[in-house]
Amino acid sequence: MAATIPQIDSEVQKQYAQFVANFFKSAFDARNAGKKLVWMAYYLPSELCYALDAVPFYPEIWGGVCARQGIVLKYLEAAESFGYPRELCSATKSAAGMALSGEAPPPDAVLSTQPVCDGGMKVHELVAVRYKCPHFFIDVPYTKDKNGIEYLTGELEGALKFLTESFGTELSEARLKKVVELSKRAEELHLEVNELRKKKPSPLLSLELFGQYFFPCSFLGGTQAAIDFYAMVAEVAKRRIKEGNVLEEKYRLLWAPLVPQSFLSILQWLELEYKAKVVMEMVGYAPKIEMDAAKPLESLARKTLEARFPSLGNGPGVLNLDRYREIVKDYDIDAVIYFAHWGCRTICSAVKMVKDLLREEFDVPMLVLDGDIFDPRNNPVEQARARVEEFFEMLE
Amino acid sequence: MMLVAGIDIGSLTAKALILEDSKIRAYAIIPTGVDSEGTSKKVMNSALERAELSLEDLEYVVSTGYGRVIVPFANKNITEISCHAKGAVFLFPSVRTILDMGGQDCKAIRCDASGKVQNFAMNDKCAAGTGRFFEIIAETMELPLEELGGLSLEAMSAAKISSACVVFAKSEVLALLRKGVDKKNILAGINEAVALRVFALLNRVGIEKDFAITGGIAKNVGVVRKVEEKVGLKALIAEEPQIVGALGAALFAKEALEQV
Repeated sequence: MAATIPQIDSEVQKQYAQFVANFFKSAFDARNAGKKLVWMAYYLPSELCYALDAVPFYPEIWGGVCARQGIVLKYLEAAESFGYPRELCSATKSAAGMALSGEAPPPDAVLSTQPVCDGGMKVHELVAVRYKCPHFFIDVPYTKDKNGIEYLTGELEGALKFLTESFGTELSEARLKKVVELSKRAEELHLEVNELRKKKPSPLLSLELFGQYFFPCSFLGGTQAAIDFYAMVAEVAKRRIKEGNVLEEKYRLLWAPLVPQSFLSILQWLELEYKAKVVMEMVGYAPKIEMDAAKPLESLARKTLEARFPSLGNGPGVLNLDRYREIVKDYDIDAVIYFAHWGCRTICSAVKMVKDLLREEFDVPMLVLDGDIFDPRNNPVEQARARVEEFFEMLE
Repeated sequence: MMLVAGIDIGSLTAKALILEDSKIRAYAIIPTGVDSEGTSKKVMNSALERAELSLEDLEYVVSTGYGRVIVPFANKNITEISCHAKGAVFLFPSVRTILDMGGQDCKAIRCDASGKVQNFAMNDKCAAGTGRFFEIIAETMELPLEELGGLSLEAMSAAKISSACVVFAKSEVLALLRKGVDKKNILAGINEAVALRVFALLNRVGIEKDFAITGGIAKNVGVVRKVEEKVGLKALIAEEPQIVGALGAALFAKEALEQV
């Protein structure tokens, strides 16, 4: 049974829900609108599509939306009936299930990459085979130095060439630059929102964006919609601060690395029961990215390498520890809740490393919650609540 | 005279304990039924009867355990981790590490001299090393539950049990039985597998002297022996290890009353 999602009377949440709905509607409507649709691994920049007036579709993210609506099981069962094991990541399986069941908008091309996991990489191959459509693999390095940026810039150039050839279109440099300019502005506004979240008490609620403050930048990067959205969130946050209309907080939490669909009810309960507010999520962190519309692909390479999915497997896990350090310091974090998604080796294997770092360098305690990111059959919400209670009793 | 009570509604058994000042006046243990609220009344009435008291005589009641929120007469509820630490330190003031082996889960707890929890870890995703696990093993081997520990100590050698997962362990046990392996050796192997698993759990919180085991599994001498071997410390065990959580709850009740 799908977890009950608490409703809060929030302009941010309402607009976010509409924003996400519009995003996926455009994917389902793409063919009728005469636009090309690209299934993309969720590590890859949406700007590649918007530069070509194509529509990106991120199947694992759609899986998350379906999980929230309580309808993801049909995709998981389709994948399992095909032969995917029950233990495999439900995000990967949801994408496979969409392709296998045919209940998703058919792609005109597929872009895949190796981060964040092998399963995610392979499932896009399946999609390409299933739909008999062209597929391009973008090799993303894990180094953010000059070599890494140059290498990825070349890869992105190759991806654009692949898409233009597949679609029989030409790339407009002016449009690409415009898209990157819009993307840069959205990044700046996301940074502004996150600066506001540093305030005490933090003006935004844990649940308002379902912990997905990254969504507009990641999946609508390069659109005016992302800019408008972050501008609206910043305005709401500023207004709340000005009016003193901010929920009291006793504990400032970091939620890492992903917020599961099944635990959304816990976010609001944490605020009400313990005055514990999630003031940052690992995926909600806004990195400072050097972007220059005059160097559009290099800018997108920089953005991709500053991915919002630390601890999720691009290179050695130790590379992600600096982000934990930054967040704990910048947001004055009191405690960390770490969701160990059962199907993910990288998330689970990073637990000790992150926990030790937090304890040794900051004396910040970390609670580990086990569960599945999407699968309603593996949603131990009550067990998670019990552990949260134990944890806060210990803190108090 | 201060009369308070702690009630621990666990997944398999419910415990109620009445404290008179700092002395245990009476306690009761009954199986947890499907009706947790009814169970809570039944177990408390049983303890009250033994103490020759009525519910009205109790000045404060703290509930704990999985069913703690549904105890209608509790003034407050507190999680079982806090209560086990509190109870264990009351019984053994030198204890800093506690292994609670309950009906449905295992918890490794680190605490300070006052019994306040410093760190904890719980078994995840499975029932290995819990009361339910041993119930299933007893059923599979057609042995009385309370005899498992003693029999395992008579083993000549420990059979190899590769998994402490209930489902896989049951399959392995059946396969060993079919091969004619002595039940005592199988039990020793099971205890070895469980001990390895809980040792890893204890290491996650860090083991510090002294060390106590609470919960129903502490009555299984075979498991206790294997855990002691792994930990390298003698385990302190209460005369009735199942009531440590309820005792901790009662101590919290006493503290609450003293603060008023």
